[in-house]
Amino acid sequence: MSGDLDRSNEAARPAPLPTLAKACVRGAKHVRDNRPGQDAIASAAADDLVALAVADGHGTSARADVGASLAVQVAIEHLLRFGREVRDVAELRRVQAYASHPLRLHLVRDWIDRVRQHANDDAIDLQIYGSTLLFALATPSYLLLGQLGDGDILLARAGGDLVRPIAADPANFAEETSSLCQPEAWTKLQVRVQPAPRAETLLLLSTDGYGKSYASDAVFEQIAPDYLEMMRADQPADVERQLPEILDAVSAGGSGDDIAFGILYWAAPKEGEAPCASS
Amino acid sequence: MREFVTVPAGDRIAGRKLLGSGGQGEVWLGQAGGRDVAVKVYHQHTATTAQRACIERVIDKGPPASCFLWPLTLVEDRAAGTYGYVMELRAQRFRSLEDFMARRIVPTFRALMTAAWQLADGFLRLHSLGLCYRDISFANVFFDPVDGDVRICDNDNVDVTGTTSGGILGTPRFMAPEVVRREALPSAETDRFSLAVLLFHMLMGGHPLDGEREARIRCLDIPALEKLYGFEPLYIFDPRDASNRPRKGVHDNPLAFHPLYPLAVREHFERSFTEGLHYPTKRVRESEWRKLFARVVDGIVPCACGAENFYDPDTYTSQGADACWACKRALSLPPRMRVDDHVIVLSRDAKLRGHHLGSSDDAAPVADISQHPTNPGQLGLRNLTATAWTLTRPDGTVVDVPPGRSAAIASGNKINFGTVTGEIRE
Repeated sequence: MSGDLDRSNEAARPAPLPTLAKACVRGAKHVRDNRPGQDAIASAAADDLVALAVADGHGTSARADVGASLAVQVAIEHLLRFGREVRDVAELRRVQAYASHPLRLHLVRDWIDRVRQHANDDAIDLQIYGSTLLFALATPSYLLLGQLGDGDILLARAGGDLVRPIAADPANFAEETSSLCQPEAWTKLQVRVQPAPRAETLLLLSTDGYGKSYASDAVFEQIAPDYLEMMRADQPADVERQLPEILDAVSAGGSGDDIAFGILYWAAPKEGEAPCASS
Repeated sequence: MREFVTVPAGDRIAGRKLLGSGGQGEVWLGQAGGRDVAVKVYHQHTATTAQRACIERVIDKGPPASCFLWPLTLVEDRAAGTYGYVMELRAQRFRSLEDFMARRIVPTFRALMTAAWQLADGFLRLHSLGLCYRDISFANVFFDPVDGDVRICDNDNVDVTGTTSGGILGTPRFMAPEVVRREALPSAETDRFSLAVLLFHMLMGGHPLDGEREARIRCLDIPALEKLYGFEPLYIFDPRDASNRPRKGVHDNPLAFHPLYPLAVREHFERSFTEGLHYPTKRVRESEWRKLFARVVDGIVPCACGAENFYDPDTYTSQGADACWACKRALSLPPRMRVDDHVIVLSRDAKLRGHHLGSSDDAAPVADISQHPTNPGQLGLRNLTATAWTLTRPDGTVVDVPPGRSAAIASGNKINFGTVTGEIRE
């Protein structure tokens, strides 16, 4: 249903793809209480697409670790499929429309199917598997972000600009959060599509264990320039090696909760070099 | 911070805060002439010559109604090499239809029907100027969940009906089937289809074509969607073909809400999505929706349990009042007022607007319900206009009802509003 007649609206050239670093650590409290970690993270890079997802299984749910793990698996599969299918759609508002429906709907339906398969019970109470989900899909023409439940998505540009592209859901308050296990959960999954970054940009996705380790959002947001500097100076693999230690320290000194944390980094285009998707 | 310059006046507007960002551009909070305004500025790659010409035409035409957040002045961001426009800021009380679908807001039926009425009225006025909106969808409509006031955004794609400038054909799932099939360009007729889809979503909590066929699709498959919404569309409540009914557990909202509405509402949707799917000229016109929702808003009956029910004068005459859909107890009907062939239920939160009294100005209520200061059980219809009404009691006595005063709501009372007369029945 590509309905755009004026192809001059298309972004003139493909944007570069980001590099990626990620880690998931068991929270200090979970270690102390000998409980399993309930956060999950997954990523994939294929066909000019980079997908990243984090999820936080609810502490009160018996199989939250499985729910979170299924959530990131399902998200990555659907994001890659979406990126391949919605490749030649010229207008970003149409990409947004496809992300709103059917991507959200199919993703949540698929998670429910997998939960039922895992439980081997079509009538299973989904709350046992309850989880949040945050994701990002980077393509040469657009960046798709999604969030259901609490957690943080920060987008930082060189020069100090920092935005939260997805507005806070008022349902996420104190320890309450929207969840994949709720009825009509797909309607609560917020998705945003924006043009692919063409200047140096950093995207951070984290479960709430990271943000609530800080006294306020403003203090937490100070991590963005630090990670921007790290990604600028080091190789992604080097940053990734450092992440578990950093996150362990944050959890131990802060929330004590699990943390799943991922970074996408678009380097500044080199002078005189036209960015391209394969760079 | 960003700086915008109005065209052609050259006034400067400081963009103080980024309010939002999307595929087409960004919206900034700015200040112009000492008041806050919104400034939409396009991304460089969406700032086409055709889009600019479209905005200039829209500004030139002026807003069709106050519910449109209309482009008011063209601006340029010379540093960024792009342009945009100034519009009124959308007040915080207006919430998105996305919020409604996600149950972040739970409006009353009265607010919802009022919003539906305002949407029909707004698009009627837009179309009567020879314009079409081209992209009616969730994303562009906001409403106040308390009183149903509507604001329609993203009016920069509005253009003369049947044109292709700007290239917008609409939003998937809201586009008319003939547009999906690429057989037609956006027009008032295709807007009418999108409006019907939007209204169906608002009233039934789902899509009119999403039934069994949609439930079988498991991943994003654009050809399958084109079949569903363009090449082989089938209404989920089609009376002649039951093969696309809503599936329990998947499409529960339409299953639950459809039976609650008066027959006339169901008939309007049936026409929209049976004949109207295939014959654009047979689609329900905005004036018909407007008349329908005026009747539905005026027929809301609150039950003692708190649930709102819909009163249908024809059903009531022949069968007595229905039971409440929520508590199943018999409904007790409040007094009603008949104005010509229109019946208004005078419940405590009822309001009369201009259209009830033959005026086209619906901006503010012209009457509401008041309580007698010493006898709270005695209700009155308060005159909110600037001119006096005349009340004739059943015994023939006649009294004036000046502005601010109330006419007693009692059986047999007749109120002359100037151009029309209403008669009260209990």
